[in-house]
Amino acid sequence: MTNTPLQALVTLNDPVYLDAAKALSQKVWAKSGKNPDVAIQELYRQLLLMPISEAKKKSMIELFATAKTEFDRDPKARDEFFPGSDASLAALAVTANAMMNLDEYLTKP
Amino acid sequence: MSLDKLLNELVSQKLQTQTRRHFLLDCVSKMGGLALAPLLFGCELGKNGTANGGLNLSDRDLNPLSPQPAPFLGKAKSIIYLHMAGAPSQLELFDFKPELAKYHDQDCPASLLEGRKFAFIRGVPKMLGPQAKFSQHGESGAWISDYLPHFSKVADEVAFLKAMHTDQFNHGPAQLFMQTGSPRLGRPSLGSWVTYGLGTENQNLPGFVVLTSGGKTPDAGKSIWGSGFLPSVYQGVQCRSKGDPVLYLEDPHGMSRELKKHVVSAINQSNQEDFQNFGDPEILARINQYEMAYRMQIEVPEVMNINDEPAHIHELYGTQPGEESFANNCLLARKLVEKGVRVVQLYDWGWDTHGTDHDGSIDMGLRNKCRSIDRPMTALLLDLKQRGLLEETLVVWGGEFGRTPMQENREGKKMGFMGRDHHVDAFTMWMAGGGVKKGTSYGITDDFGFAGLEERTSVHDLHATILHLMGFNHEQFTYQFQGRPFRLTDVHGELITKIMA
Repeated sequence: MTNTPLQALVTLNDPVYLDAAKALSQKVWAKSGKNPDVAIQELYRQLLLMPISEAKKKSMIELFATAKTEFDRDPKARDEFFPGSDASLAALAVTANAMMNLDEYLTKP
Repeated sequence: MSLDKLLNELVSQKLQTQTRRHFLLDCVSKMGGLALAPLLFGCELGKNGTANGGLNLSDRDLNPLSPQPAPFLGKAKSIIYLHMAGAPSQLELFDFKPELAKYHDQDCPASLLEGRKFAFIRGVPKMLGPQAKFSQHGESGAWISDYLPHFSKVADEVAFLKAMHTDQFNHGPAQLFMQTGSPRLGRPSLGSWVTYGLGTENQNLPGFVVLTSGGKTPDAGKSIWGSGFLPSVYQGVQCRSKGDPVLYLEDPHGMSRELKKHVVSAINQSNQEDFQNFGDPEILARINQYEMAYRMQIEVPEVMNINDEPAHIHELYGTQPGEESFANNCLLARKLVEKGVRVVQLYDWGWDTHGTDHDGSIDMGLRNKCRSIDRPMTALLLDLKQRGLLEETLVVWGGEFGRTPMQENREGKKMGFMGRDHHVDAFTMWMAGGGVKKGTSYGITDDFGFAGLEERTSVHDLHATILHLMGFNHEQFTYQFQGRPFRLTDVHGELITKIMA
């Protein structure tokens, strides 16, 4: 498995990966009853096929909260990042983008 | 619903296939795998089961690219290695053999062929006299041909190694040997060793950057700048030579730098947890690479942009922004080294002059090819010098082997163009800059330029010398892997003291 900064830039910033993160978030957000806690656990389960650990859940919830605060404050940025979303959904997409960059997600068993 | 079923199926499949990491985790925690740990991890990591339980991480583990003092005072701080992939003909460039001209088109003496194998030559080939005109240059009186008119002017800056030899006559293995010290896959490259040993001065750029030109990457592939058994954070990072140097440097629209910082931090926190559990050093490398990626986004666009260089610099190098060229790469190499990058490795493809076509002919194709590197590599030396960087930058030039003094006769037939086969017994390389004795020449070949007679230099000798100039004792610079210490030079290598300043 490639382990270079170039790989990191691709999976962090390539629109293909972001589109995937957004589509997954949309699906999970609806299913979670718009509950961030549930949504984050479900995102992880769908991506990693196992329950999320407490520590990782904490990191991801923090990321979600930071992103949501930023998108609440700056709706223009939110629209640029994820047109047609609200701050919560956009923040969940940021979280999904992060999860899709975890070593355990990128590294095949 | 069908998606849920599919997910459930995947979950059960995953449970059935224990991962390699889980296996290693179990070994270490349940089998009292202390004895096993060094074998598995091959490095100082993975000290699970120490008194305080967790992993002992040094500052070096967390900041693997932070600058390190060399074991002793090296003259060179950084290295620019110009590898001419395909192997240029020493007999048309630096190794002047007037005697060979007298035997042009005559049968090769049997003494040169006995017991030898060549990549393509079969039976009895004809000799091929030098196709370039040679003259002496500078105070050192170095012989350089008219294929390199610009380079001739800096003859007094360089040290020639004229009796280089290798033991690999195919490109892939020979390139691996030249770059990793072994013709087989799996060993760290020279650049990785140096980056591992010295770290790098600029934490916003990779420590080891690779650029290619000539339309193709080298035959041996990316392994020649790979990190082998060293942590993969030390591998060469290949930037694109045309278009954007690195893809996806821009953050997604609407994502601020601040938010991206939180994204990377959340990723790394989670990876850190996995590292604590599994101790796999690759996870640590992943964490470091994500931090590097975040920092690179700011500095790379600036350093990799040659558009804003002044006209006299473009004139000096012969650069044309936007093209994939050796010239652009030489200018980039200077910019990168100036910014504190430890190792810059350039590969230029297209030196494999067998005489199968015009481009591969010794008299025409090679001359054109030389034209494409002559001005840039000369400019690189002059530019480094005028910036006061040449004293601390080691510049190395060469291919993976040499070319035969005989004309190639593929399948025993006469070729359409003049060409030379791969040759292991003699070829020329040069070095300049940090710690190199200017205007010297080391090594003498026989009258045909077939083999070294005196001061022969092996690939290991070259590596030992390069490491020495960077401040390492090649015999003590080791890495513990699979139960034994490994060296770039393995159990070989003699310093070439005569070319040291």
